[in-house]
Amino acid sequence: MTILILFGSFILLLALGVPIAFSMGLSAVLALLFDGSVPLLILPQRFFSSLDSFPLLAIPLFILAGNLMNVAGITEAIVGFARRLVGHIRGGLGQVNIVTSLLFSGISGSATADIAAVGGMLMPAMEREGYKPEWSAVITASSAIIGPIIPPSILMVVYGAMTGLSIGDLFLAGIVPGLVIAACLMALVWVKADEIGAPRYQRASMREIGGSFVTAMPALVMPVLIVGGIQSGIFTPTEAGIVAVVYGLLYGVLTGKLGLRNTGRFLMDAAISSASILVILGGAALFSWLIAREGLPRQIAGFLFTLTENGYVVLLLVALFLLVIGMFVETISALILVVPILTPIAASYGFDPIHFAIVTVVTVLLGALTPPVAILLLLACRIGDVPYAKTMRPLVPFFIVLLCGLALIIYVPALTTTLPNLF
Amino acid sequence: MGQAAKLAETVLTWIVGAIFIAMLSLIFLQVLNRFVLGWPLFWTEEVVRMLLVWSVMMAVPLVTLRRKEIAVEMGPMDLPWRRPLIDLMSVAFCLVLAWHGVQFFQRTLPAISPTLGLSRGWFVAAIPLGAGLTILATAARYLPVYRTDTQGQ
Repeated sequence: MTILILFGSFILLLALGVPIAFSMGLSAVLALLFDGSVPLLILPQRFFSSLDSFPLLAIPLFILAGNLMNVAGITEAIVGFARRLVGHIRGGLGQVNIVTSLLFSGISGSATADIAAVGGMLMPAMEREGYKPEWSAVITASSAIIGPIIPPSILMVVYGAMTGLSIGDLFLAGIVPGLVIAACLMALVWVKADEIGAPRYQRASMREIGGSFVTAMPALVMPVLIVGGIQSGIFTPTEAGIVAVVYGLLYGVLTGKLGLRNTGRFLMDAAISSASILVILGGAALFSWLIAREGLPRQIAGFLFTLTENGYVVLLLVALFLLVIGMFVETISALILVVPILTPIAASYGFDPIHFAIVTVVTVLLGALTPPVAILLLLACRIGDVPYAKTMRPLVPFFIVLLCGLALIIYVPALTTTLPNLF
Repeated sequence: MGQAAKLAETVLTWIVGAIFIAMLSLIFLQVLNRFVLGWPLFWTEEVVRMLLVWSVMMAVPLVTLRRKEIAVEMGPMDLPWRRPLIDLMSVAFCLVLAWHGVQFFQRTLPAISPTLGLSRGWFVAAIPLGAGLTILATAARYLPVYRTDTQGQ
C-alpha cells in the first residue's frame, strides 16, 4: 500500500507539472505519513546526506568547464577540424555534425549542452548548404546523446555517486559505446545522403587537417586528462573536474575570450543549473529509501524470475521499461528514479554492474529521443526553428539505428567492460 | 515589495557566487597541495562538502525565481488553476522540509564535526533555510516584477 501511495501520488504530481524534486519528495512524505512507522525527521536527514557527497561536486565543475571551453571558441575549432576530417565523406555536414558531437562530448557532460553548442553553430550552416532543416534537427539531437556517454559525463557521476561504482571505470566504459553509436549514425547519414540533400566538401589536404587538428587539440586533450588522471590515481573525479575548470579558464584567457564579467556569469550559470539537478537527488533521497525499505526491487526481481531466468531477456525488458520512463522524464531525473529500483535487480541476475550502468545510461538517453515527448529533439527544433511534427519521419531511421547500437551494447558486454578491465 | 524581492535576489546571487568560488578555490587548493605545497590540509574535504550543500540550498530559491526547475510539462500549462496548484504543492513540500529541518538542526547542534570541531548544526542549517527561502521565492513569482519577466517562456 505504501508503494502504491508513493507511486500514485508521484505520477499525479509529476503529470500536474510539479518540479520533479518536489514531486518525489512530497509523494515520499505522503507515503510515510500513511505508513506512520517512521517520524518525518528522516526527510531532512536523507535530504542532507544525499547532498553531502564529495563525488557530486564533479557536476558543477564539469558544467562550468564545458561552458568555459565553449565560449572560448573551442566549438568553432572542433567544427573546423571535423569538417576537414570528414566533410568530404558522403553526407557532408551531417558527418561533420556527428564527429563534432563526438569530439565535443570530451569537454561536455550533458546532451543538452551538446545540442545548444553544436546545433547552434551547425544547424544554420546546414540549412544554408541545402540540408533539409528537419533532417539536421534529427542529426543534431541523435548525435548529442554521445555527450553523456563519452567522458566526462554528468549521468555517470550521478550513477557512481548513487551506487558507489567507480566513476573512473564508468567513464572508461562509456568510450567504446560512444564510438559505436557515432559509427552507426555516420553510416546512416552516408546511406541517406541523397534524401537529406547533403552536399560534400572537397577533400582537405593532410596539411589542412593537421593545421585544424592543432587548433582543436585542447578539446581532445581534456578527456584524456580527466580519464587518465582519475585512472592513474593522480586525482579523484572531483579533482579532475577542477583541473578541467582551470584548463578551461587558461584556454579562455589565452584565446582572449574570457574576462572577469563573463566568467562571473558562467560561474552563476553553473551554480544554478547544477543546483536544479542536485536538488532532485535531495528530493529523491527519501523516495529511494522507501523503495528499498519496502523491498520493491526484490519483489520485481522475484516476479521477473517467474517469467524468465535468461538475463538477456531481462535486459531487454529493463531497456523497454527505461525507454518508457525516458519518454516522460528528463534524463538525469529518470536515472535518479530508476537506479535504486534496477541496480538490486541487476545484482540478483548477476549482471556486470559497469555493463548494466552503461546500458541504463544509453537507454535513458534514447528515451529522451522517443516520441511523443522527445525532449532532446524538441530542444534541437527550438534552436533550429524547425516544426517538431516534421521531424517525426526523419527520426524513424535514426531511432532504428540507435536501437541497433543499443542492442550491440546490451549483447556484446565486451564493448563496455574491456577498457575498464584493461586499466 | 517588488524592489525588496529584487534586492533579496541580488544578495542571494552574491552569496551563492561567493560560496561557489570558495568551493572551487578549496578543491583547487586541495589538488595543488597534494603535488606542490604539502600542507596538512585534512579539513578541506569536509568544508567543501558543507559548501556544496549550502550552495545547492541557497541556489534553489534562485532556480525557482528564474523558473529553471526541472519539471515535466504535459498538456496545456496556461489553465488558470494549474500554476497555483503546482506552486501550492511545491510550497507544501518545502514547508515539511523546513519544519522538520529546523528540528534536525536543533538535534545536530550538539554534535561536533570530526575535523573542524564545528557544530554539525551549521552543516544542516542550509536545509531549512533553503526550503524557507524557496517558499518565499515561489510567492515572489506572483509579484508583478517577476510575472512580466517570465511571460511567454
